[in-house]
Amino acid sequence: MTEQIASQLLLCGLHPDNVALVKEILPRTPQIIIPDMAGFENFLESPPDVPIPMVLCGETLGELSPTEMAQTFRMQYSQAKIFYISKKREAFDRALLLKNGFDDAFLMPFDERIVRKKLLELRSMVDAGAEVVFRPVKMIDLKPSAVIDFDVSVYLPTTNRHIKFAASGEPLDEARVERLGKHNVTNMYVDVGDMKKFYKYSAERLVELGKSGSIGETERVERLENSVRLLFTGIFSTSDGESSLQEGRAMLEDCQEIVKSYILADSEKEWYKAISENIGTEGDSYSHHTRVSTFAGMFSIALEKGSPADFATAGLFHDLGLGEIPEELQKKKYEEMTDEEKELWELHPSISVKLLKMKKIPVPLIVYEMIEQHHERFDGSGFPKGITAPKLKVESQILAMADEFDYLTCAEQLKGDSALTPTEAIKKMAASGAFEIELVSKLVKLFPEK
Amino acid sequence: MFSPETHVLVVDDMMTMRKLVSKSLKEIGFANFTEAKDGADAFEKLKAATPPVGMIVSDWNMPNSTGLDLLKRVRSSEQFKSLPFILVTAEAEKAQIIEAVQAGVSNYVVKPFTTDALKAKIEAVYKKVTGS
Repeated sequence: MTEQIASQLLLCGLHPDNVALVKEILPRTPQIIIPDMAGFENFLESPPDVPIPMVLCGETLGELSPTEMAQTFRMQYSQAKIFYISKKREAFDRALLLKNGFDDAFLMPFDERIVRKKLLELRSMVDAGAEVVFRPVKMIDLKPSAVIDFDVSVYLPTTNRHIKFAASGEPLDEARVERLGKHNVTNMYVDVGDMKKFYKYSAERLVELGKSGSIGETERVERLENSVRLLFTGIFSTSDGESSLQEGRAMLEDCQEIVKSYILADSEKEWYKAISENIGTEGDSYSHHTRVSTFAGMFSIALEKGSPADFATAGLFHDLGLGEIPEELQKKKYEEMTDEEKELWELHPSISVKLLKMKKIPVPLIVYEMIEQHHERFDGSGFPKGITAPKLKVESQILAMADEFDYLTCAEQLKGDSALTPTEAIKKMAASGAFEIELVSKLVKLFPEK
Repeated sequence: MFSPETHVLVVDDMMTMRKLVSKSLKEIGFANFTEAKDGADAFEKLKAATPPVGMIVSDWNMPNSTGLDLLKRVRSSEQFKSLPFILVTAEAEKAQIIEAVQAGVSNYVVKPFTTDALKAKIEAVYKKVTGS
């Protein structure tokens, strides 16, 4: 009988804190640790003859450059995922690390959530048959008798256990679904290996709810709004502490994937597929443009205005032109800029359009219009032209709201001010008069006050 | 021309890559190596080598003097112009390989490569040189 050789993880020059993180998440996966140059030279002499699905490199082997590490391990383990994980902010250049051979690069502690996710995915692959690794998710629009193609569990805090709520392939029990609604349980749990199925399920539910069919129009709209509201609630978790930020970010990423799945379910959107494949790697998940893209896509789905693909694309590229604006100016608040600086800043929407056209990415005309107009306002107070309806498109206003929403709710965007809750942000936007009240009031319904 | 005694000059600015390439060459059957860290260092070692170098395996992208610089220098030298020269390139450099072909490279291999891939490239050069 042939004995199966267990996969091992290779850690080279990783900071002790990051080694501890790996051990925490992968306690059962054997690890080969190269702590210093002597260990590295031993490795070169006789590399271990075991399957290595992942190599994690760090910054503690000072004499060895990241490029050298990437190239060495790429030669040795051409099929492995090779990541760079560092705590050193000064020398960290993600684009350069990717260019020099890493599959991705992460700066800790900012990217801890993504690193955890990568390791959990590996665990799911490597420890097949071992204990299930659960991810909290928001299961939208659960219908009695619906059949889901993955297991769904609930968590019982009294016993600290996950109990299966629905088994893959079996119809959902009506009484159980009713009990969930009655107890207002919104967090459910899915095996991390089933996340792609979860995204597909969520997108299919949203697509279904977007069509008028066997249920009444009022009920359909209500269920659609409830679904998007639930997803937004997940992003803006109100739990305290660092774990909520991590959980919120996980939910944001889930929403990005759900929006993508929703759009890609429409086979005509081949152009969107080409764009989304070129967006970049997961290290960019939490940047402003990907958040705005996700929010704009979700607003489009919930408000049933325009095409979510158009919104998601416009969100991705709306600030492309900022790359042409001096970095010091980008860090300044608009209100603190001189007149000359404002004039320069106000060019960025048209520069974004120009750059997008130069890239020859075939997007619908409305996407250019949305980007060009994303700083215009309904009351004429925007720029660059100070236009208002009807020249100011509804689609542009929704993108503008997604942009403003991210600006108000995300501390990194506010340049020193405190972030608002989603409800506070929408209220502020409604009170400003800068957005069409009919549109804003529809958004208010997505973020009810507690 | 190629035998276990063939003296191979391995050129790369990275110590680890020199070791890995030498290791692959050992697995193929070669036993005699000299290492150099860039094109300039390689040419000096080429001139001083005893026994004479029989094959060069050089990385493309090196500071100070690249693999392509070394190739051009070798091909314009009366003493070394016929030496088998294999360039090691990255995927991104493949588009420039035409430049190396015009400069007289014997063959090239793209990183990451297996020992079998390197062996196949060397055998192709051997066949070309010996006509068999």
